[in-house]
Amino acid sequence: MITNAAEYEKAHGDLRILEQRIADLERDHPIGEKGFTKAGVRKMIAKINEELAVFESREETRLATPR
Amino acid sequence: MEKDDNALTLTCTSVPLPRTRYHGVPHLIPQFLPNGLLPEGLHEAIEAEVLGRFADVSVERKRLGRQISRWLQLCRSCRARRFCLNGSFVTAKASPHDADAVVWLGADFSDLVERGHPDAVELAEILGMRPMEHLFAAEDRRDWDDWINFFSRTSESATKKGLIEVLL
Repeated sequence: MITNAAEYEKAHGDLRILEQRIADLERDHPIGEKGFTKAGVRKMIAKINEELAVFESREETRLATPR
Repeated sequence: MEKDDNALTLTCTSVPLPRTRYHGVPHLIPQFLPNGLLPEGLHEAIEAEVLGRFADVSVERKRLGRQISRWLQLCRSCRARRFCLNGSFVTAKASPHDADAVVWLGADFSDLVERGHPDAVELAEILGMRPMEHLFAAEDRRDWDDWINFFSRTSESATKKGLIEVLL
């Protein structure tokens, strides 16, 4: 769960690493090879994207709420 | 998949983390640092020590502990090679949100799934089709090292955190 700006930045860095990794896996291993590893990388990408979405919407709500 | 788990992978550019070996001595998992993380390294422990240390404080920790026990049961049944725990479960947080883990699958895991081995089929479902269960697969040393280095990252680029390797 992302709770602050530093973790938000780290999550973006994590996504870049994972996107490069899935691209490398797809290039080096055709369909049918390393399917479990690829599925795991995609699952982690989905998890991080979901956490980013939750954080962004929470921040937007926080900034939009009148004090 | 590789057959020799000690084999060097020349294409792997990541630097392996220091490894704390388990020698049958209890309470080997180090104490948390002031930032609530484990010190850098891959700290070996048996399941009972891990659950005693991390799964006995809150309802959420107990729930995660049960999930991890089930994962370990499936991994052992499928002759997995190694298993590493990460996520807020292995931090000082009282109510962690999740436990992430990576399993280095055995060389015959795909065959087990193909033959309909029930535990292999369940493990394959978790790995590929259950987004709420954060267990990820490694199929060779390169994958394993990549996951370990990925999980060790913190929001400070110069700092790495410690992980737990549960002995299978």
